[in-house]
Amino acid sequence: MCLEWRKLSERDEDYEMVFGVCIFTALILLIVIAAMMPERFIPPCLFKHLAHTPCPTCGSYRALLLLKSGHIGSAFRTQPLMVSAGLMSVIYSAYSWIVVIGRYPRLRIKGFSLCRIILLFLALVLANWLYILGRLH
Amino acid sequence: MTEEQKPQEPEVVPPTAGAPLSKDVEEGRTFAILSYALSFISIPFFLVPLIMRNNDFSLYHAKQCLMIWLAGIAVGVVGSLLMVVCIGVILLPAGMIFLLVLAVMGLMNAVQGLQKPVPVIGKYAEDWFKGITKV
Repeated sequence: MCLEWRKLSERDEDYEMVFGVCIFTALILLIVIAAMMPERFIPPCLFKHLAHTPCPTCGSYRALLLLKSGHIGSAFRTQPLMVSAGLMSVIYSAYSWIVVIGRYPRLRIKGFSLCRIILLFLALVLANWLYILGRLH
Repeated sequence: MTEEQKPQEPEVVPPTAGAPLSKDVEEGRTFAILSYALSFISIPFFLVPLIMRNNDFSLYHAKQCLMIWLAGIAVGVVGSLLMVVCIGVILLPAGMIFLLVLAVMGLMNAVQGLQKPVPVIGKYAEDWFKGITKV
């Protein structure tokens, strides 16, 4: 698998349009949630409540509140995966707007393999979980 | 192997390439638009053209709409399961926004009279439901 820039043909699907709109709307939703939710309130995690162990995405809301107050480093240490995902979403959203409006060539994965992407994603989630568990002990 | 000996590859014509007859589009457009539009308010109107099967254009969009509904059910189930961990709260609305965008794009195709699959999941609808044809 490698990345390449290529012009969008008639047959190609406009992923930037679809995912760009979705991610942008989700980011707006997240900002609205962060702005409206009270400072002290942390939504309970059912997994943590039942298993007495943090789930792989525990700390996301705390990281969001830390980001809101401008503590980027602390937010990243609290929940590295979700903060990275948020950052990637912002970058992808900006890239989508630029290439869709400017009609520039699109970034595509040559030899795309869904299986590898899923494995990579699972490995990242697992690494993040181990980090969170390791920080506790 | 020389140039003459190479077997000629048949030209692959996707099912969407052939533009439908304008009469078909004119007759089926209302049902195609209603299939998508009523999905926004959770009414499965796409079942009507899917059961009637008297128009190629409306049947095509009904199949696309059925695929969006199936994806909606899958997103609902996965999102509800992920509610157990923290991320489900964000993933469920994000998935629903994704399906909403697909339905809007499908609606635009139907309004323009295009027989085009919706992005990402549309091609699976063409493949899975190719057995459902006009009667």
